[in-house]
Amino acid sequence: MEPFNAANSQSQMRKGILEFIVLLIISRGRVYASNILDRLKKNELIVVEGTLYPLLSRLKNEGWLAYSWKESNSGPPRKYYSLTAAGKKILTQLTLTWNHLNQSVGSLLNTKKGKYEKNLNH
Amino acid sequence: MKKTLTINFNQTVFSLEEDAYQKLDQYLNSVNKYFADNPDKEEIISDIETRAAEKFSQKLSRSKTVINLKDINGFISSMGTVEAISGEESVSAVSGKTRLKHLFRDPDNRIIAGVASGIAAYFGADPTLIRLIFIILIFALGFSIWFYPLLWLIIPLAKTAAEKIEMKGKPVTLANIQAAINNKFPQSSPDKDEGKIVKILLFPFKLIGRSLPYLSPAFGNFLLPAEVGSFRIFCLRTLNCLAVVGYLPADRGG
Repeated sequence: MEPFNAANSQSQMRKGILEFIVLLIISRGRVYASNILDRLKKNELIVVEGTLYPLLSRLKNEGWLAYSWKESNSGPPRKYYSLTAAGKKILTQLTLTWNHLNQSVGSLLNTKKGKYEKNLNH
Repeated sequence: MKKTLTINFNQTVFSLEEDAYQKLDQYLNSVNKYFADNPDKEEIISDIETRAAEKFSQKLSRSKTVINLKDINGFISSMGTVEAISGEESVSAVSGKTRLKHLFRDPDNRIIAGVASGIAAYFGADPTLIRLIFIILIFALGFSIWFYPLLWLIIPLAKTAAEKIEMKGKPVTLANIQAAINNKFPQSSPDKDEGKIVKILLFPFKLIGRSLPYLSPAFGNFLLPAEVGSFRIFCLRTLNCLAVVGYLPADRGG
């Protein structure tokens, strides 16, 4: 078992939403792997780049992603990713789940201390 | 003055200082082994190399034409060592990895083809004991001489580090793979050092084993009449064994 601590908990949270985030980034426009990495790193959503590549290949195998090769001005051709119809469907579902989680956690965070105790007393 | 090496990396030529080259080579090897059981290994490695080439190009300028160790270390720390990658891989990727114990032939402790050593690894037994059982089965209990070659044919060889770990029923975790790599599991070389006498003694068996895949469609025709009876018994017994051995899931967890 992994040790139970804050860092591990945080890492579990990040892992849990990474697939969703990657689908989301791809849904927002033509990107290749380095673009995705830039976005993820800017938002501190990924720790090491090496995790993205197996994830992309898994999402592709699920049939959620497709890619096409495009020439680039600097260097070798790049793989540009896009969502398939199935990928878009999944993204919609994941977005719903995310909104739901966000609302639930938000309402818990906004609950003032002592509120439940009052409710229990009445 | 430092020696440099020229590499063709993702269709771009880079000059690397010698220590930088060694570090990169070591890193790519570890990544290769880590993804060894991934069906998309080639693609993932090529993606990682593309990223490396991109990073290196950014490091180079008119006044700096060689990649040094610092550049490589920078690349590795952003890409992540295999330890870091496995720590961060998403939950579903980790849980998707097989925890089943598989029966493989063990190329590292083999004498002929690794059948006995593979079975020993599966049960955590001493290979010599399994070999003795084989000898007893064939010579004392009259099992067919085809017993061994047939198992040879049926049981796949453990090729990757991951397979060698599965062979022992351990979960394919990074620590286990690292241990396997550090032990320098030799990749299955067809002819390991064997004494001359052993080679001569085993030659007929090896010949049978090598040619068996071609013969198998007409397998029955190649059996001597006297062999056929015991072969049928043997087949039944093997099937029984397989039902017990091959398809029982190993204990999970751990």
